[in-house]
Amino acid sequence: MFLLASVAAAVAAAEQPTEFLYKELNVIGGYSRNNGLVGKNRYMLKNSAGFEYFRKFSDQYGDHLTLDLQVRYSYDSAENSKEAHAVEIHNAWLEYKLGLGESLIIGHFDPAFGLEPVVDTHSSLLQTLAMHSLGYTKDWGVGYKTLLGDFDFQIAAQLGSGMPLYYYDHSYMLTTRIATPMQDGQQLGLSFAYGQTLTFEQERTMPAPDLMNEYSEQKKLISLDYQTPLGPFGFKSEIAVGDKEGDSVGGALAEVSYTLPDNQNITLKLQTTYWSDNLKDSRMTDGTIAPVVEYKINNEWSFRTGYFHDFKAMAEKDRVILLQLYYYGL
Amino acid sequence: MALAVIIIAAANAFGAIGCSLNDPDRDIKRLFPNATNYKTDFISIKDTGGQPLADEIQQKLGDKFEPVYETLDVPYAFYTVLKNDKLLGYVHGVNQKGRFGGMQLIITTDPNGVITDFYYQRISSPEAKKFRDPAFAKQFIGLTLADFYRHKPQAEIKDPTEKSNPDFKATIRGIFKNLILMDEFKMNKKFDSVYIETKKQNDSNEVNKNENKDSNTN
Repeated sequence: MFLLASVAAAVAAAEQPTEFLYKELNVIGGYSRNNGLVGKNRYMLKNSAGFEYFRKFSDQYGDHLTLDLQVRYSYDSAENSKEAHAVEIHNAWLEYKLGLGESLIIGHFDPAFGLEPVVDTHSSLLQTLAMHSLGYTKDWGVGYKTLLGDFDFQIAAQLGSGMPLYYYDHSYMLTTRIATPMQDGQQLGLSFAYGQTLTFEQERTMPAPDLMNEYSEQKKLISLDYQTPLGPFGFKSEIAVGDKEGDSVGGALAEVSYTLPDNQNITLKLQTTYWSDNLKDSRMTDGTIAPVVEYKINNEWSFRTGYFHDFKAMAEKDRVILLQLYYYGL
Repeated sequence: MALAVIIIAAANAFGAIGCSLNDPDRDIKRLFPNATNYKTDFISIKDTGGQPLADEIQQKLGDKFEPVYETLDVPYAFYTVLKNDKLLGYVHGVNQKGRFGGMQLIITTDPNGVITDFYYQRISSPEAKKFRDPAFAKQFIGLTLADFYRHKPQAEIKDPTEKSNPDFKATIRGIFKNLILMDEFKMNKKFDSVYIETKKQNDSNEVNKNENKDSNTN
């Protein structure tokens, strides 16, 4: 109630708002050694189109409220006509400022866990460990951010459902992250996650996806993340360990990036990820190494291609080449 | 299988915005300890004055815009720093092409456009440490756009590195551009009179030089 009243007051008091409406288009596909042409739901690589609406509300005392809504329509030709169309809500949040360095957030946003809330995975082929550790990158709920002396602190209480707004079997997820301030491109973060999450067969918001399991899965996780520039290179890493339904789980990620000095539209990235759903059973491990080339055609269009080589796999090892054309512009 | 978890994740809201602060609240608190809040404005050259404004800025800068980092439609983030409703100053950052990728140069000014702080939010360079040395950054404090128009820092501030002169030159250019944008968008072209006066002087020097050259040739 307090948040809603504050939001209403901030909107009413706002001067001319700052707002943007970005359009977005994602065309993606590739070839898998095991499955031939890919680009369908098997890899959750869906072609999509959407928008992002971003708005800040301010008055003579400064910014008070920020709104972000990012929605995509996706079409999956592998599904039947009823299931093929989907709406994906990515960002859908309101952030109300309680003071300088202190704010409340409500909606669909990043859990306070690992690298995901602090790195720009803006439609990138390379992601963080979030899909392995929590099972999703964003969730519905409320959060709080503040500055604790020399540290950044955030906490979130969310539904544990990921993309759909869905509550079932007492699911919830509590996350918290404390980090050194980003200084000279360096940051070290420590996070904890505790809760029960849901797993779905489809990655979408509407129509409501089908539950993969008829129960929520208990998770207790701890994560350490670090990013720093290394001379002309960028470096990111993340380690997470914990317990999922009584099994010890854990994994790590390391990524190096390099922008070509003589053609700065081109960035080369190399990422390796390792994740085990049972640290005592080597068959329950995924490991992938992926070199990626990103080419910025102009300020709005990007082309990315990557080769994903499994060196460990819970199911069958695969080798995949992906190609992506992405538009994001006003 | 491992690849099944690749999804196209959500975008960051600032995906297409030129050089916003990484952590605005903490940064503003550090740069202006008395601040109670700040106001963020996103301003693009395209929306404000389009190509004529871009031409004007390039003329003042004495250089062309770089096609990757300096497109007209990129909104720049300006932070107006407040103590209650009183203006304390401004924070603004620009992207600048460096030898090993984009640099992000942040400056803070008081309400009169005098630089009160400068730092690199991002720099990829084998000699990044020398650029980040406070002794180097300190040399920009107290300068205004008028000094850049008069080429004072360009002549007086020395390159702190041995092998990264292109990044040093890029830093000077980036700060110069940053101040021009601040003057255009936030200070109502306060320093235009200095630009016009300096330009007249330079033009007249050029004419004198050419006349001397002609008389020597004859």
